[in-house]
Amino acid sequence: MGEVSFKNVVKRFPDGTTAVNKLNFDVAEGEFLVLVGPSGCGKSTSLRMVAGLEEITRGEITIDGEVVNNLTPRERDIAMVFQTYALYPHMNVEQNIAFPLRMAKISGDQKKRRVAEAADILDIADLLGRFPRELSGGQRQRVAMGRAIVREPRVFLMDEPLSNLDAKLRVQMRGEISHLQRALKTTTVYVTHDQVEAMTLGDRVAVMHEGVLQQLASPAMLYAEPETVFVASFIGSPPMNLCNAMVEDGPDGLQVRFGKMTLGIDQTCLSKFPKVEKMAGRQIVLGTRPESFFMADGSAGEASRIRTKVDLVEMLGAEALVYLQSDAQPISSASIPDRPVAEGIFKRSQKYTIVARLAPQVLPRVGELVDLHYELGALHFFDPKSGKALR
Amino acid sequence: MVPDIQNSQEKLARFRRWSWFAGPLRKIIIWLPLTMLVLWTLGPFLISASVSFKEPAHVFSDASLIPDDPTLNAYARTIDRPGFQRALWNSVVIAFGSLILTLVVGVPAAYAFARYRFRGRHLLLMFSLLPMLVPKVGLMFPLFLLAVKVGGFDSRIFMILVFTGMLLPLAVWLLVGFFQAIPRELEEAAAVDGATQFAAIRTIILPLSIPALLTVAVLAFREAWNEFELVLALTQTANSRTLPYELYLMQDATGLADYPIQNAFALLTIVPLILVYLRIERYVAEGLLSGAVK
Repeated sequence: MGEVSFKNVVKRFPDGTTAVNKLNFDVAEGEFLVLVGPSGCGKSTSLRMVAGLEEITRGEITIDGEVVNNLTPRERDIAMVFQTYALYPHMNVEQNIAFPLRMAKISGDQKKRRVAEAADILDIADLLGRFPRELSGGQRQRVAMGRAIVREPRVFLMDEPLSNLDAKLRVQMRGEISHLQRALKTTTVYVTHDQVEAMTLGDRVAVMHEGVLQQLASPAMLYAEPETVFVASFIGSPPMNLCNAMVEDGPDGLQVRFGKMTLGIDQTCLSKFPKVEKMAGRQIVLGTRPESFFMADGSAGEASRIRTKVDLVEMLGAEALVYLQSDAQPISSASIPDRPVAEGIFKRSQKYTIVARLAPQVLPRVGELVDLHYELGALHFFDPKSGKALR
Repeated sequence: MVPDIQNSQEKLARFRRWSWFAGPLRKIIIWLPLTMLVLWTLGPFLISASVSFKEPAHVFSDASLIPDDPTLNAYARTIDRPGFQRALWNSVVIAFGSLILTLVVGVPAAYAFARYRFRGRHLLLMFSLLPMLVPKVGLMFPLFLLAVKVGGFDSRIFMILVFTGMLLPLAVWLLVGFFQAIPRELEEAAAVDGATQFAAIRTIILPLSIPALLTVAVLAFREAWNEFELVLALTQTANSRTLPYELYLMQDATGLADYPIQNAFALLTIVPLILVYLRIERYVAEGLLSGAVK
C-alpha cells in the first residue's frame, strides 16, 4: 500500500510556464521521500499533482499501480499537511481531526476512538476542545498532522509543514515527524526548500531545479556524489566551492589548475570520474568541499597542497570558515544546466574566494600566506556545458 | 527614563492647554454634532411613538412627549384591521421569500465568481451591477407591463422574483468579496480530507461566511420589507399588498386624519425589522472569523 510513481509527468500552466518537466521517479512503499529545491523549482506543484489539486498536463502519476490522473483528491486516499496548516477555523481541534472521518461517514465510537488515538500519538489530547485561533504554531502543526494520520491514508503529502515555525520548534517537530513516520510506516512525500530538513528526514531525497529532477539518491550519496553542479552547490553548508578550472598534464600525471593553484588528480579520483582522463587540456568545473581542506603538515604530498593568502576568517566556535584568495572564476549553478557555455553567462561573484572549513585550534591570520592540504578523493569534476558530473 | 517620561507628559499637557481642542471647547465640538445627529434620527421616532399612545382627540391638546393618559387603543385598532393582518402576512411572505431566493441564487453565483476563471467573468460581474444604476422609478412601468404580460400582476411570487432581481447585485458583490477572502487552501484541505466540492462548500465555506450571509439576509429583508414604489406598481388588491402600501392607503381611508392609528401602524411596521436586526446583530458581532483566517 502506498507506492507512488511519476511517469514522464509534465505540468504546464496556462500562461505557458513549464513548472515540472518530464518527472520520472518511484516512491517505494513506506518510504520517506523528500522533494527539495529552491522556490519555483516545481516541487510543490509535483506534490499537488499527487494530491489531485493540480491537473497533470502530460504523463501519468500512479498510486499502487492505479493511474490517478483523473481521480479527484477524495478518490485518491491520501492526506496532506499544508504549509499554512489550513485548519478549519470554525471547528475545534476534535472536529478538525475528525473531519476526514466525518467525510468518510465514519461516526460514533469508532470516530471517537480514532480521534483520541491520533490526539494521543501527537500529545494534543488536552487541546481537543480548543479552536485553531487559540493554539500556538506548534500546536496547530500537530493538529494538522493529526488530521492527516487519523484516516490512515495510503500516502502522506507534506508541503513545507515546518516553515512557519521558529527555528527551535522546527528542529523539535522535525524529529517528531521522523519518529511518527517510522512508527506508522506510511509512504510520505515531503516538500521543503531547506536542505537540512531534506537530509535529516529523507530516506531518499529528490533535488529539483527549474522543474527538472536533478538527482534522486540517499542523503549520503547526494553529498558524496552530486550528479550536477546544481546538486553540488545546493547540498552542503557552506556549499561546495565551484570554479572554472583546466585539466592538464603535469609532471606527475594529470592535474587540475584553477587560477594559479593546482591539485593532482589521483587514481581514486579517476576511478570516480573516468571521463576526466579525456578532458586533458580542456575546461571543466571543479568542485571542492570546504570541509576537505586541512592545514598542511609535513606529511602532505606536493600534489594535494595549495598555497594562498587568507582573505577573511569567521570563527564559529567548533570550527572556523577561512576565506582564501583565489583567481579562478567562480561558477554559480544558476547558469549551467542545458545552456550553452559562453564567457559572461556565468554569474560572477564580487570576490573570488574559496571557503575552507578548518578546525579552530591553529588558525591562520588574515593576510597570511597559508599552506593547505586537500583530500584529493573529495574533488568533484563537472562538464561546463551540461553541468553534469564527469563520470 | 523617568525624567524623559515626565518631560514628554509636561509637553503634552502644555500642548493641550494651548490646543484649540482643549477644555470645554473640546467637549462642545465633540458633543454638539452627536446630539444633533441623535435628535435628528430619534426625534421623529419619539414623536411618532408618543402620538401612537394618545387618544385621537388628545393629539393636539396634549402636546407633551409623554402622554398624560397613555392608551394602547390605537394599537388594538390597528391590529384589528383586516387590511393590516393581510398586509403583515404578505410582507412576511414576500420579505422572507426574497431573502431566501436571494441567498439560494446569490451564493452559488458569488462562489462561481470568486473561485472560477471563466470567459466573460469580469464583464458579467460588472453587468450584474447594472440594475443598481437604474433608478427604481424607471423600472416601475416596464415591470408593470411585464407583470401584466406574464400574468404576474398582483402576485406575491412575481414580486419575490422582482425583489430578488433587485437584491442580487448587492448580494453577489458582498459575497464575492467575502468568499475570495477565504483561503483556497481550506477547500483544498477539505478535498484531500475526502469532501466533495459540495460538501466543502456546505461544511467549510458557508459556516465561515455566516457574517456575510447574515449581512446579505438583513439587507435583503429590509429592502423587501420597506419597498413601496414597486408594490404600488405591481399590486392591486389586498391579496398582495404589503405593509408600507397598506399604510399609505390607510391615510386616505380613515378620512379624518387619525394620527394615533397611523403612527401605531407605522411603528408596528418597523418593529419586526428592528427585532430581526437585533436578533442577527448579535451573530454578526460575534465575529466568527476573528483571528481564524489569516
